[in-house]
Amino acid sequence: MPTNSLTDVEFVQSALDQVNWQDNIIVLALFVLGGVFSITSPYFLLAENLINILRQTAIVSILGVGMTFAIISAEIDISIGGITAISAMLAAMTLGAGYPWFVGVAVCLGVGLGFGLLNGLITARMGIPSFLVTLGMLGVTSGLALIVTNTQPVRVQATGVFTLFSGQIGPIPIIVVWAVVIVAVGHLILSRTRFGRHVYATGDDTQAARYTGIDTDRIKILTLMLSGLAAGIAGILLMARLSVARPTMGDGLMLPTIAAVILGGTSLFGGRGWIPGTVLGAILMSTIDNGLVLNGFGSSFQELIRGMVIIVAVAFRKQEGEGWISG
Amino acid sequence: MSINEVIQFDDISKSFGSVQALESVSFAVRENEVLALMGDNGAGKSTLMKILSGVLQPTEGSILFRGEPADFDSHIQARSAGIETVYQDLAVAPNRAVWENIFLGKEPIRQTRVGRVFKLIDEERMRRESRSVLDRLGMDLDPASKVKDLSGGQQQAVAVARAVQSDPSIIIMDEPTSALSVEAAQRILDLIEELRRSGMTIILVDHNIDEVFKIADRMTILASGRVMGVQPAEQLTEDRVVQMMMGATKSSSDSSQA
Repeated sequence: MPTNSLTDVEFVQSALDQVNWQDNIIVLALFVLGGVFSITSPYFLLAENLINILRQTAIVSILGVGMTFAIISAEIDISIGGITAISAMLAAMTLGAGYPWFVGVAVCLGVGLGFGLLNGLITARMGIPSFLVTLGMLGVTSGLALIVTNTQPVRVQATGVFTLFSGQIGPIPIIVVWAVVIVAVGHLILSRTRFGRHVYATGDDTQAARYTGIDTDRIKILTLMLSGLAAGIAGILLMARLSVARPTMGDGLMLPTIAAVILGGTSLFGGRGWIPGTVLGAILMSTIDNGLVLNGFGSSFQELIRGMVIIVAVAFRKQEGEGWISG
Repeated sequence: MSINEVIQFDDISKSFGSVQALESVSFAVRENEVLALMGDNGAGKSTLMKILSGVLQPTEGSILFRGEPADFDSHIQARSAGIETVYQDLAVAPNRAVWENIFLGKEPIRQTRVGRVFKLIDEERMRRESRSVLDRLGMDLDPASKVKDLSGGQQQAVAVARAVQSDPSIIIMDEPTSALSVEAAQRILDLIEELRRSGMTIILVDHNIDEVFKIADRMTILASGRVMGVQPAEQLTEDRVVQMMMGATKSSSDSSQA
């Protein structure tokens, strides 16, 4: 027998390794949950409800695109909810002061990018873990969102914003169209560009990446900026959908986003992951939320389930990494 | 004597605070040879190689690369000048495929208008050229395998393939076999032999004397930051090398012979 041929056990293991368990399990989970919810609630499979699930998925998917970049580069962004809120608040105030819609949009995106840059600079240049930096930034941005109007919501009356960011094209909510565009662009950047390749390498082994000439600090700053930008975009879309910016509008976004990214197969330890998986994770999270509501469970229960889903997903991922499947 | 000198270390000194890591180091590296840089831990081998590869700058002295001053500010500069380093701690991305690792940090861009604007990587070219580098080095590796699924020796081979891919004129190998089994180490030595045959110059940092005698054309021995001797391998014995590594200079041996 040639020395490089596989033993039977190795052969079976290598075949098992080819299967992307996480992605298959997530699709399976979607079908199982869909089946259960369609039995327990007559409304679940109505087109209106399915579109509602997509609408709920949209924001988490968009935030998930930024978060996938951050987590693959071995960082994390806890501050997205706060950034979403402060960017929407400042944009709504800009619009309220009479500036045209595109200035409001620019403010929203600029604020998102700016806080992302700040997160990135502190993380990369000062060597503080992004978990701590963005946790602090969550406090800063959430606090600012409350301070700027002394906790009051700001109504939005800018038609340009509504035309572009809310409403429907046929039966499809525009927010879903935006999500599809952002997911597609994010996926292309991550999988097809030199930058994307360097994001993976940075998270996989930062020292190795640096030795090969990759500016890993720059990569980390950029991924956190993308996460901030995604939060800014979420800010516009939520503001347009609700016609109002509230200081608390970003609450509860971080947990489902991180859950979606990890459920989608992105390693919390960096170096592995992909954006279509994040979208599947987001659909799963929305389906869980939606099904729970239809079955009479309140938002507290959703929070509980989200937390549990994250723990199970991370436990699964860790087991896989330590050889449960890949040997 | 018409032997081409590619690198000339000229009076290189390096101190870290009060610690003198290198003291007036001068010697040359010749075209297409395997030069072993020997010395005990702390002798200054790694410091010298870090200076050559642009990671550190000398306190005094200079390096000539093909007769031109070579003051590299970073290893990226050194690399673009044609000096590649294979690090002891591998420096590979474990979750990426072999072909991705071979091109890590220097991914080719698709030469279309869209490709250039968005810096889209030319994946097909990367796969194709990885295959040909691996073939050239006689490595039986699937370019699509993930690096973490390979053995230590194979991972080291990937690191070597990455260095070779850009066709450098000099490859510095920092203890390339220290973490490997005897068999895997032999394969890396064969690989070094193959690189020399293909015209490259190799500086091998090592303290495994057996190994060095198998492969080196010449040896430079450092002790406490000084050059103890630079000699062809066939003029040295293992005992003599050990003596020099412990600090006995060439001149003291010369005077004993006189």
